Amino acid sequence: MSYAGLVWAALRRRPTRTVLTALSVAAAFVVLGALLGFNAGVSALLDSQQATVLRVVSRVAGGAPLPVAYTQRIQTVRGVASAASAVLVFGRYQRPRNVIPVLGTDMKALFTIYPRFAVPAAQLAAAASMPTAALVARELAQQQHWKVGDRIALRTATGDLELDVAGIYIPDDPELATWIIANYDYINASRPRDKDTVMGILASVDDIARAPEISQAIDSLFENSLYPTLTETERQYRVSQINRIGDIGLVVNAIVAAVLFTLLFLTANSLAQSVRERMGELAVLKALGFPNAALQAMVLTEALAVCATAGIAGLGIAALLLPALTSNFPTLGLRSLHLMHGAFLECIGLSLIVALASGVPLARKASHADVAKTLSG
Amino acid sequence: MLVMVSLQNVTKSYRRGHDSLTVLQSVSLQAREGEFLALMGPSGSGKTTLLNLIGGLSRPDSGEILIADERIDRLSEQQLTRWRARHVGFVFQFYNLLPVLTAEQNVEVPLLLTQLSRKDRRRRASASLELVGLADRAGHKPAELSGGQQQRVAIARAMVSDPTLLVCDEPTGDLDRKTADEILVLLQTLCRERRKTIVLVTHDPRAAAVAERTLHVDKGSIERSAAGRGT
Repeated sequence: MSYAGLVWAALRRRPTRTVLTALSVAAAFVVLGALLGFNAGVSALLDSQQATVLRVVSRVAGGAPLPVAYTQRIQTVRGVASAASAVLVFGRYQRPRNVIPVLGTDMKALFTIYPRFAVPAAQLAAAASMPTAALVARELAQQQHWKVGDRIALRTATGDLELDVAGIYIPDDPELATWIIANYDYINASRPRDKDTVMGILASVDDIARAPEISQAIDSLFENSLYPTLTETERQYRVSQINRIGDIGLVVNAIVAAVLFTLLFLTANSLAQSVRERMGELAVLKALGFPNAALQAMVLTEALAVCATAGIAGLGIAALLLPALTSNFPTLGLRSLHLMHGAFLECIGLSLIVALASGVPLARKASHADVAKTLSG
Repeated sequence: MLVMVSLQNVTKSYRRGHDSLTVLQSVSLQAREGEFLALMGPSGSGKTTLLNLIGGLSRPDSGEILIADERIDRLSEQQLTRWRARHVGFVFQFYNLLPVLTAEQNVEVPLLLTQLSRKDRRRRASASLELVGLADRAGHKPAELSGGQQQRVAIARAMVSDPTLLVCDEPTGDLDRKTADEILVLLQTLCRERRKTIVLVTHDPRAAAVAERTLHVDKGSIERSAAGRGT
């Protein structure tokens, strides 16, 4: 028997209520963990986006294609270091559901724009000179058991692609972790329509401070053409993509506040009921000589035990669920989203706040009760 | 013989809204060390208030309360709590055991306030249960025990920290005659053999008769004193 034993005994007094309260707290923390993890993942994704890389797309809503010739013209804009055409097709490998994105581009230019993408120089050189070459993301190569030298056949909506694996690259962008990079000319040739067009153009700039000015210069270049452009940094592009599904921060904070309020209400109510039922027992402990501080500590420990244990269990479930949640937003590049340390600590902090907010008033009430009056009923 | 309990001109009143209700009016009494003292009186006479004052559960408005030469009416709330843990054992009418703990664990509870090791606590709790004849029920929870057995556990709990004073509020009020007699005999034995001073509040003349002395309380004053069979 110990103080911990007394707390455990109090929790066991009404096991169904304790379990249901713990389940409610755990469920709330699944939601909290998932939302905060998602929010933290989005912030981390935005932080990782390069402000030195510009994305040039059509200003016409709906993603109309741009002429491939724009790439050369963008290359001539002062401050642009490198430019690469980009067209994306989806190929099915062996099974209809095994869909793999294939980016048709100028490989050398692309790897200049993204120097953080690791690929052996010899493999890059070989791939750039072979029309059917493909550079495969390492994760994808591992998934599909591909190695350099393999020939892979992909079925697209408009025809078949036969690609030779010329190299394996390691992207630092989770969005590209399961992509194939192929030569633009080969992909372009395989398309029955929209030939000599691109979905977008990627460009790197020499000076990050001049990115807005260069973006404006690019857009000015095509302002009066049939295909006006919209140029923005990768970071701006991600923000606008994410904003399409609403102000994530506001939505998450609103839900977190609602969940916390409900949780606080629920825990406080459950704990209040438990303490109310045990006022006589607490009065006996006080009569036996238990100091106020000990009684307060016991009631608080009860609240903390339920909130922290159930909260951690909920966070564990959230951590398991997050990858599934993020797979629903592949275009946001959140594939590797997980419950980051910050979000985890935030949730633990919230569980402590809930426990203290619901426990402190009751602990005070329990310890300040008039023993004689309580025992006399 | 040493005076264990001494009250001098103790007055106690309660506030009910704007009114003040005087429950005890200038009460004085004494109990010797090892004495079995009963307090009798009708409901509302102030006997439980008197018992609570003696047990340090409440404070007088005026007057002095000396227990074993210590002025407990001068102690702070915190000091009074510590004093209760060291000097008083409580026995209540409805036992007031913790329902999810076993008999032995219930008896061990007051020892959590001491520096004793877990092993020593268990040993003393076990000895205390043996004292009240319930060693074989150590692992039973209150719901698995009869009323009399629960009251014995409560007495074991009151005795486990070896207090100088046992304060009993209607300890037989919820028991049948036979069981009540057994509890009274047990209290009498503790008083005689362990030299515990016992102050007992009761409505039951048979319970009062077991005490050495009975004080009749009425309308907040001690009306008279009578010797009991236990003299």
